[in-house]
This record gives sequence, C-alpha cells and structure tokens, in this order.
Amino acid sequence: MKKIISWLLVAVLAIGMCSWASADPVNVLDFEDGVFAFLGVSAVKPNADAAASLEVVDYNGSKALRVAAQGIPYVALNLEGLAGEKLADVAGVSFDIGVDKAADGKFYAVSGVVYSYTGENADENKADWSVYMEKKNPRNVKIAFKAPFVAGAGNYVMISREDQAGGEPATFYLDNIRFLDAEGNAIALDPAAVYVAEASERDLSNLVALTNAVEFPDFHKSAGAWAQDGLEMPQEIIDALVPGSVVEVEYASADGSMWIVMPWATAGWMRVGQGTAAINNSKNIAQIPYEMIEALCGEDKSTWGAMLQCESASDWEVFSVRVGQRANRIVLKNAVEFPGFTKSADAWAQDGLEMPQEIIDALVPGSVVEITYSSEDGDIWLVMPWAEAGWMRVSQGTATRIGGKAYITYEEIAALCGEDKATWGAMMQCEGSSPWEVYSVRVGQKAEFFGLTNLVEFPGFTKSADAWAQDGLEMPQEIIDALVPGSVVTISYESEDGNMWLVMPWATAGWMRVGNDGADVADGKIAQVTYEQIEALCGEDKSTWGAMMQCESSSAWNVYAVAVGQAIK
Amino acid sequence: MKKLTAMLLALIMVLSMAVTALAEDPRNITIGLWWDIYYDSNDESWEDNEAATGKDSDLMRFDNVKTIEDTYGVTYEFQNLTYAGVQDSVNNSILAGEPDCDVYMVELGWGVPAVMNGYAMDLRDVLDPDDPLLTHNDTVMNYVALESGAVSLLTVNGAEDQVAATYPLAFNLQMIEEANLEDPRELAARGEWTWDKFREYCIALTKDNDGDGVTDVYGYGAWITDCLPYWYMSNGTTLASTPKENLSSVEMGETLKFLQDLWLTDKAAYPLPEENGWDVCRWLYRDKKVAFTTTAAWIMANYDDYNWDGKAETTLDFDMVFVDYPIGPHGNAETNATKIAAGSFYFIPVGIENPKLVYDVFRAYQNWYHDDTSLRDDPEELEWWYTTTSDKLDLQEWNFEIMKKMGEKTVVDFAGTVLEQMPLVEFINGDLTPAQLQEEYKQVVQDTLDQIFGA
Repeated sequence: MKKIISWLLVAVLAIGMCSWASADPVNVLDFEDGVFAFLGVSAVKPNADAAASLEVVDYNGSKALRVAAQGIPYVALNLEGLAGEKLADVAGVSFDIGVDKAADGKFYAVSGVVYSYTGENADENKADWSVYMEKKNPRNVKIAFKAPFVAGAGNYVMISREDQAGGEPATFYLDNIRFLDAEGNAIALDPAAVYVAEASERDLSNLVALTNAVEFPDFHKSAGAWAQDGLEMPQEIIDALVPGSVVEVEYASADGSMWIVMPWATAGWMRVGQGTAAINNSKNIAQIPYEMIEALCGEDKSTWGAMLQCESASDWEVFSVRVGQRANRIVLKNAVEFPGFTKSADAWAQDGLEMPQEIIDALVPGSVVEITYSSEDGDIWLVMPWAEAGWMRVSQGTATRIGGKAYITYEEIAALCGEDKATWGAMMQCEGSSPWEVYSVRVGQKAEFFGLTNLVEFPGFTKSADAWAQDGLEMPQEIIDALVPGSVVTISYESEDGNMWLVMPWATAGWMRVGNDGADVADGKIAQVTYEQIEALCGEDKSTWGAMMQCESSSAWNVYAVAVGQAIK
Repeated sequence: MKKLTAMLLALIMVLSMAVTALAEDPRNITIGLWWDIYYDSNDESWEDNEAATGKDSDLMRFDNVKTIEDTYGVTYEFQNLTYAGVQDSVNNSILAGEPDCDVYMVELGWGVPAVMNGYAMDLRDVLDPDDPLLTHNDTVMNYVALESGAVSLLTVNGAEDQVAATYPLAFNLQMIEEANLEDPRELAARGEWTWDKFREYCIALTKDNDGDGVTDVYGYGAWITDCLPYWYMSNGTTLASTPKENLSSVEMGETLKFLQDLWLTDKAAYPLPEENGWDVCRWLYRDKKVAFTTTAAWIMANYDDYNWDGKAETTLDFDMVFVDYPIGPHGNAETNATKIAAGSFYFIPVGIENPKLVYDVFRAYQNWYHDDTSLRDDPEELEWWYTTTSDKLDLQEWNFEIMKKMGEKTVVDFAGTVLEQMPLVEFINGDLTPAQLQEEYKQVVQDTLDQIFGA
C-alpha cells in the first residue's frame, strides 16, 4: 500500500522532467535494480486512472514493472532525461509486455497504446500494442515513432492499457525497454533520469479553485476502511473556516471515496461529505464546502469541536489538508496570446509591451486578461501607464489569483481607465509588490467551471463519434432526479477542436443542441452544461426534455463519463 | 517374467492408443476477431450468449455447432484478440508464415492492404471453379471485388448487411405527381432513367412558388460528400478503389461536371451552405425544399419521419420513394457498383493447412439457417429498416428492396478518407472547374492512397 501511495503522489502530474545525477548509461531498462524513477503514472488524460500502482516484481524469470489499475493506466517515461543528447536519434521503442490471466483463470487478449509526443508542439502520435494470444504472452513489441523528438519541447512517451477481450481490468508487466535509433540499435540511456510531478497537472475536474489557502500542518494520515484519523485544528485553520471556504483533502483510497469526520461537534459525532463531497475524476482530491459542515454541525463553528478527521469506505491515505476561499475555475475561450510577453522585474518595478492590434481587439466586455506568473509574495497586477485617465495600477492586490495565474477583467480595467478602450493607451505592463516573473499574457472570453457536489454518475456513458455526429443514452431515473435547478451536467471528454456540448433529441420543444452557443464551458477535458441552459432551450418542465441525452462536437470526439452534480455557489 | 512382459506389452498398447487418439484430435479452426461472437465449440448451451433469448434462430445457431463438428470432424472457436491484436496477429504471424488464426475479421483500411500484400488466400485457387461464391451467386457468402480480381475479402450475405450503409436516391412522390411527371421508377424500369432525364426533372421541379424571385423548391438537394460517390458509381467508376488515384479519370470528370452544372448552370440543386452544410442538406426534404435527395434509413429515422418507434407526435404528410440512381454516360445499370463497402470483412490467411476445409466450416457456420433465407432475413427482425422509410406497407417494401438491391453490388472505395481532403463545397460553388479540381487534387488523392496501400 505504501508503495502504491507513494506513486500516487506522482500521479497528479504531468510531465516535468529532470535528471538528478548521472549514472552509468544502460542500453535497456530491465528493472533488475528495482529502480523506476524515470517513469510514473500520468494523469494527463481525462480518463486516466491516477490511482494506478507501479511496482517491480519477479515476472517471467526476471524483474519487471507491474502496472495495476482499475481504470486506464498511463505510464509516462521521461524520455528526454533518459536519452539526453541522443533524444533526436530516438526512432523507435522495443519492450516486452505480458498480462495476467483473469480471476476466472482464463487468458483474455489485452491491448493498449504507445503515445509519443513529438516535435516543437509535442504533437500526439499513437501506435497500438497488444498481447493477443495466451501462447504469445508475454511478447516483444516494437514500434517506430512517427516523428522525431525535440529537446525542451515537452516530448515524451507514454504507454497505456485500454482494451481487453474480457475479465477484470488486466494487470500488465513491462520489461526490457529499449529506445532504438533508425538502424534499430539500442540508444544509451541514463537510468538516473527522474519523472517529476508538476502541480499544474492536478486534476481539477468537479472542483473549485482555492485562493488564500492555508495548509493544515502535518496532516499526513492513513487508516483502514471506515477508520478515522486526524488532528486538532490549529488556529489558522479555524480562522480560515469561514462562509465561502472549502476544506480540500488530497488523498488516495482504494474505492475513491473520502470525507471528513468532526467527532467532537456539540451536535454529535458527524460524518461530513460522505458520498456528497466534491471529488475529482481522478478521485484523489475531495472538497467539502464550509456550508456542508455548517448544515450538520451548526452555524456557530465554535461548536464544531477542534478535531478534524478523515475517513473512507476503503483503505485510505491523506497527504494534505488545506482550507481556502473558493473560486470558480476560470478558462479562457478564444484566447489570444500576447506575443513576447515574457517579463520580470523587482518589487514595485513595471515592465511590459505595447499591445498589438489582436490584443486590443480581444479586449471587449466580458473578456479577461490572464497572466501566468510567479512572484515571491504571490501578488501581481497590471499597470496602464499611458491611459488618458492617468498612470493606472489595475487590480493591485485584488486580482483573482488561481494556480499561478492572475485574472483581471475588462470591467476592472474600464472602471479605472474609462469605458472607451481607445483611451487606455497602448502600453500594458505588469507589476508586483515583490520580485516577479511573467511567463505569458493572454486575453480571451471568460468561462467559469463550477465545483460539483453530490455527483451522480451516468452509468455506461462512454461514447465516441465523428464531428457533428451525436451519440448518447436514455437517462436513468437517478440522472433525471439529479437534474434540478442549480445542477450541472459534467462531461469528461476529448475532441479534436476542444468543443463539446449536449444534444436533447427528444425534447418536446424540438431537437436541441445545448451548450454550443458561445457561452459554453469546455476546456478540452471537461465540459459543463447547466440545468438552466437546458431549461432555456427545452422548457421549464423537465418531463418534456425527453429521456435521451447525447453528446456532440464539431470535431471527432470521445466521451469517457457523464455525471450530474450540484454546483457549489 | 511372462507376467511382466505381458504387462509391459499392455502398457505399450495403451500408450500407443493414447498417442493415436491424441494424433486424431480434431483440428480446431480459429477465427480471430475483436468482439465476441456465438456459438462455437466452447459453448455448452444457447444461454452462453447472454444476448440470446431462446428464440428459434438462437437454438438453430447453437445446434449448428454440433452439425459442423460432426460433418467436418473439426472443432472451431472464435478468439477475441482485441482490435489492435487482430492487426498485430495479421501483420506478424502471417508474415512469419505461421498464422495464428485460420480466419481473420478485418476492416477495409488495413484489410485491403493486407490482401494486396499477399497475406490472404485467393479462393480462386482453393474452391472448385464452379463454386457459386466465385460468381457472386452463393446464398451464404459473397466477396468484395478488388482490382486484382482476387477472391479474398469475404462478406456474409444477409438482408440487413445488404441494406446497411446504403444511400439511395429518394423523391417526394406528391411533388412528382403534382408536376405531372412520369414516376421515375417507371423510367428506371424501361432503362430511360438517365442523367439527362434527371436534370430535366430537376429543372422542372425547381420552383419559385410565391413569385418573389427566391427559389422555394429545388429539384435536388444533398450534402456533397454523401451523394458524390453515388453519382460517380452511377457513371461506372470509383474514386479510390485501387492504389492508383482515379480522380483524374474521364468518368470522374463527367461526374463533376454533371453535378456542377446541376448546381451552377441549372440552379436546380439546393445551394450548399458554407457551414454545417451536412446538417442542413440531409433534411431539406422534410421541409419540402427539394424534390429529390440522397438519403439513408438512419437519416429518415433521425426525426422519426414516419413514426417508426411510435414516439413521433407528427409524421411527414408526403411519401418519400426510393429509386435507382439515373445512369451516367459511362454507366451501366447492370454493372454499376451501388454501395461502398463498409464494416467488417473476413479473409483466410496464406500459410494455413487445408484452406478449403476452413472455408467450408466458416461458410457452414454462417449458414445456420441451412439455406432457408427466410429464417435469416426474418422481416420481424428487420422491422426498423422497413418502418423508417414510410408508413405505407407497399412503399416500405419497395424502399427496402431498393436498398437491398444497392447492397448487392458493393465496391471497395476509400472515398470517405479522400473526399474530406477536397474543397467540394467551393467546387460546387464554382471556385474551381472540374478540370482544376482534378488537376489540383489528384496528387492529394494519390498521397492518401499511398498511405492506405503502403506504397
């Protein structure tokens, strides 16, 4: 369990890669020394099982990497760290792969995909692998990559298990991984390469963003199913628990469940968020809104008791607990990149660029300036030095800051610089109260994702279709029941152009597309359609909506899951 | 000592019998595919197929296993290799000379290249010269014609397989009657249903009903990528059936000119919208904006035109009737292909023992109905195909037969992959002449075919 959980830490990530220290180069990654830090479980794909476990075990007469997961595991390799200067020479990969028999003792064919991300844009390429017959299990797979790898462009390789002929999700084994040059020779690899987590890759589906978050010190606990463990809340946590706040628990549990327990509450021993907490699709972050605690433990938080514990219906481990103010996650649609806006300066120093026409054009009511940045004290704002209204600091100390990005709306600029943007002046600068660095600036229309509690999953909603083709299912009663005012349909998906919306083909009001009217909320992984959006098109009486719910996109699409939850507002 | 010798002899005899028995184990014929199919020698009851309900056809399919085993002295099994696994097995084991399976299910995109690369048995070398399969006259099996003439890509006969993925030409019967035009079915029956006649009809049916200078009804309307293959097939050709592109052919040039004339010169076809054209064009007929259209059962089911599921509150108040596509100058009603092959197919790989036996067993498996096609094509099971296209029994029957007839002449054509790379809307709108389109895009088509066929 410990090993599983230690790898779950890696699972929340993307691919940040580095090599700590060089070791003797090897031609093959054979796992004989038990080391596999050069790879990890990736949660980049919307359907990734971030709880997949990795372990070196004896298999087929030698050591091999065992990959076990209930969902779809994606094992990413830090190819740039492994191949180093030879990265551009990598033309193919060879590995041995085998699968376990199912619990019924039978062999079922299993297949998956070798993803390669190549070129300056880290374009995705796919090639299949399979173990398709018992007499050829394990087998050697050789794949030629379709395009060359480029250093410094986020290029890497990832192996998944995606399809099988039957049985429960199959555990598979990887061994003898060789990266090959164009002549088929094994390239020397640095086994000290490390696959590193990046916080930006956290799966935030169904979750709100936290601002001014306060870390619960030393909250690293684990217990068996239905057992509780926790700590007394320090004063800073108690202070942070105010209306509009949320308790965020980063965890791993075998069945994905997690909630908190307030055992010393005056109102009695209380489970809070059991089956109702907002939980991301990777099932490794749970959020419990202040109001959920208040509803059970009372309005006066001094009666809640100082002890805060965690619990799950299965074995669990909690890595951290934080409390912060909640904010809806913001996504920019039709975003326009401010070319060359990479700047840094000391505290209270400004730097920036004249706005090109495309940025001026993008600044319209409802738009937002997104600044990707870092600063020592976390603050950043805009300066409009040439505004006719005078040299202006905009949103000093008040910009919405979420996860390394700050958001300043058109309306905030207009409030200071005037409603006519022609009077704002062409220069846009950034500034902070501590040394700061801005990596990029974009302007686009603002779309906000809701955090969702009380999620009800739509059973079996795994569909795919070509552009402008619809597919879906009749809604079961639990989904119809969950569709109430304030609810949100959340769609976990991929599509070539990032678009996704719902179709209600049997609505009495007529065949309806919902959520493709420009106000849609979709980021290429998650799309949300509110009850009110459906209501506006299909009518106030949901019994007239028709039982069929379908998905559609303007490009080829895959939907991995659909659920209905209540928006945290 | 004698007793010991006798015992040894007895032991040797037993062992020898066992070895003989082992040697005589029936051959197990394997069919590699990517989903579960029933029934095979591993099944013990008709209930092993969870989708079965115990109806007569379920029982006949199950009983057929024993019949095959007894008739041919073999066992057989379906092996779900997964989709990727089938491709791996085809590409690796056949090339190595030791096919994993005796029959493979394939898709055209990789099945055709496999056949053309010599992975599949040509059944002309296996079957008797008078075997009805070779002349497309077998009740149970058929094959997809390839340029090489090889009889390798097998299909399974059945009304549902035939009607699926057909895109018939349909017309609004009442519009034809109101215009005092002869029923196109009569013209087709007399061999007079030609492109020229169709243009004549479309021009006659194009109308500005209220005299406001805006056309209200067009003779024809269809989404260009839906209809284009059916028009060039009606001119006796295909676009991307062989490793060499055919966009530049005379027949294709005629087809492109015919369609551009219909849209641009005659202005007798509904203008193609720049955006969401498919969405607009597929359902023009519902609003009586066109007299003829290229349609499909699934298109007509989409809005429940004739209340096939009993859920529609209203149905169309006119009849849509299917008719053969008119014949182009290079077309031939007897030989034109009328459907683009789609779905899954089978082939027997080279390198297996006794391919004739394998074919016979596979055919016998498919022939669970023992040549009684009324069992196979049970109208009750095909009800959706009938009821989607009309609410009148005679028209349901007629439309179904047209779709079925189209399904009889199937051809491999990677049109879908190719057409999406061509600016067809711009072409129809007159931005390119037919010759320009052919010249500018023939290499694009060729590049795509090179990828498909692995040139």
